[in-house]
Amino acid sequence: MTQPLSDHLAQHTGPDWLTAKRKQSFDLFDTLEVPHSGVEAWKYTQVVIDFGKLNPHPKREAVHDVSALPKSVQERLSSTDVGAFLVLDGPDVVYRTELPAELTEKGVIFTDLKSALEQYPDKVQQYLYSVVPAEVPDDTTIAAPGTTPSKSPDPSEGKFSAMAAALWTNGAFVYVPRGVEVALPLGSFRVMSEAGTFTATRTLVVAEENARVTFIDEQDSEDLPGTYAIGAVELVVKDGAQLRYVSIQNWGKGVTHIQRQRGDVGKDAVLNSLVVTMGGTLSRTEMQSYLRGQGSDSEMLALYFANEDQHFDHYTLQHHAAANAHSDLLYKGVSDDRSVGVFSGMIKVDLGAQKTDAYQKHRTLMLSSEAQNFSVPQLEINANDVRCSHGSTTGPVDQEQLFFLKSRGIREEQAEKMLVTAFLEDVLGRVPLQSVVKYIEGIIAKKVGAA
Amino acid sequence: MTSPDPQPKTTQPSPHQIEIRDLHASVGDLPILKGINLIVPRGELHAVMGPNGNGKSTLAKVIVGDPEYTVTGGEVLVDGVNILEMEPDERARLGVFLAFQYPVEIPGVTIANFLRLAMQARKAEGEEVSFTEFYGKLLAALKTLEWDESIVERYLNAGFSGGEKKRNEILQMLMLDPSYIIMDETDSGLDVDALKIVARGVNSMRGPGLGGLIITHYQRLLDYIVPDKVHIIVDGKVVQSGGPELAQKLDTEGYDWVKELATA
Repeated sequence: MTQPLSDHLAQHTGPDWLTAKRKQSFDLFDTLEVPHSGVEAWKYTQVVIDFGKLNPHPKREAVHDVSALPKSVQERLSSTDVGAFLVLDGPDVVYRTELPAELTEKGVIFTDLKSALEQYPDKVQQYLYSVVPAEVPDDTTIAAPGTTPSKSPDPSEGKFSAMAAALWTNGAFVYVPRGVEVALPLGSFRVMSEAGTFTATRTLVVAEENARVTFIDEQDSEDLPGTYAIGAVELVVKDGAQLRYVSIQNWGKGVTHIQRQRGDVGKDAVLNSLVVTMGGTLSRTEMQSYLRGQGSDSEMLALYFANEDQHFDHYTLQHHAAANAHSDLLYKGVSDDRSVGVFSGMIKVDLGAQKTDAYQKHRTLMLSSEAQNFSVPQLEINANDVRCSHGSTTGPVDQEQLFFLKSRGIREEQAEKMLVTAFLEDVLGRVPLQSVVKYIEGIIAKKVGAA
Repeated sequence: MTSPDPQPKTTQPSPHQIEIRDLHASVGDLPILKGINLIVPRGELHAVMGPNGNGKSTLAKVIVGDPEYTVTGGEVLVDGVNILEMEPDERARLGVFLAFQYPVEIPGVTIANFLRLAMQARKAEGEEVSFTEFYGKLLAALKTLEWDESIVERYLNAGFSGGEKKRNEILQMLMLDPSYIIMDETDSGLDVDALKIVARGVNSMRGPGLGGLIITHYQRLLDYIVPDKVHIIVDGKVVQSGGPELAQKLDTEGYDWVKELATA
């Protein structure tokens, strides 16, 4: 059934430990089913995929000049202020810029995973798969309302992470040594350019003790019917470190995007994440914060705009495993046309994670009576001295605000667009990355304009 | 119900005035306006006074088309055109402007962007608000209101004090050049300094091209914006009209005597 995929697996070269890991992950992938509607965490999202017909994205040659890149990529790169970036087309790095010398001198590494395996094999082996393993992490589970989450999630929730673990071709590798601060953001721009294929990627960002870094993970393509992007993003945030991670999913129509993003956050460390979902036809983005260390902090932000027949599923986990940790989640989304939005968010507090302060809010703006939005917020609290709250609101554009704008002469259609933009802008106000925010505002404006 | 003076049927151009004819309106099933008749020509500002809960604010909101209110009878003619069937934005583009008693907060929309789009909405297709037009007007308005330029980068009324919100209403008024203004208890919650600034903004616009209603419960604002006429609304009707001295009488004698007028 998965013949093209096992052929593809055989083509991967690398150190023995990795080959074994790929093989093991592939076997797991092969035994698992695609999560069905009986699996609570996938209840509203059904992925239709025929693995027997799934071909890997063709290889792409590296270019030496930006002008040889696709126009849309050139345009995007011209307005970014990342300090160094990789451009990946399907499985391959096609263009890259180097880190400033002062950072390499301090031991900062920014390259692709394939190159890193050759140049820094120990570092890669130490961290790869440590945060996002092949199988579904034990704490990833959403139970049916009114029931206590079972100890282990359904194994099928590991279907795509096993696939990503076995078949990843490349992705960014960032390593920031202890105490080093990288002021400018680093980033990878992922594109795909062949319809009817799949690309599996893996991104690994390691911030050692008290390091600081920002990583931007952008995905963009033309419309590509029947195309799959399967990803895993591993974020290692050691004690006292600060990592800001931004993913901007802006694939073209026809793309199915399934990505598990997870951070392992140490003592007094901070992970700020922003998930932006705008493109693709089906999108499942998981953002998981494992607050391992005392006093750790995770800010989890997201904004999405689903229109036409887009189906966006956001899964989140705030797992408080240590005392005095803080997590603050704000997801805001717009549902238009016949789109479907799903949010399932879990706050999980372990026994002993006293003084946990966890907050979760999902807000949806409904612009169409045909759009659907499902919100499944969940709490599982095993400590007795905690502050946890969650909330979810869904509604149309505020009528009082709409009337106010109209009373100033602004036509209803324009006024609605202003309010939709304002609704999402609120999230961006919390992200101190000027050029990224400007780019996201541009995507929003395009979507709002087309709505 | 009293009828307004009959309009002569002529081919003369429409009079430059707001004319309210036998206006009835309710909230849900509750009638609030019970036959308001008023004429405010351009060039005049009229005060509308009266006890709370008798229809002053309802009148303001009905004129601009607040969907919370249902018009059950009558007409509001702006320069001879009945506006009651129009959308609120069309009424605004005709030149009607309400300074709200409780302006809404819209986080995510900057004042600058909002003002620019509101001005743009008044332009013909293909015509753009120029930078110099916008900026020149803005600087002048901010100067009148003693406001720093940085205010326009803030989100609309988000986290503003009551006084700042009112000042922002006047800023919009100055930028949008209305022909008719309606000020709904703009004085409420303002200290004397803020009141003076608001009054300066309004007075700077006064002239033959501007008409309006100043709705207020107190004489206070009228010390700074002296009205041409004063009307008193009780129980959804105009029960008395007069000159500025009427406002002073209300200030010294209270509203008891006008309530008697309504029941008489």
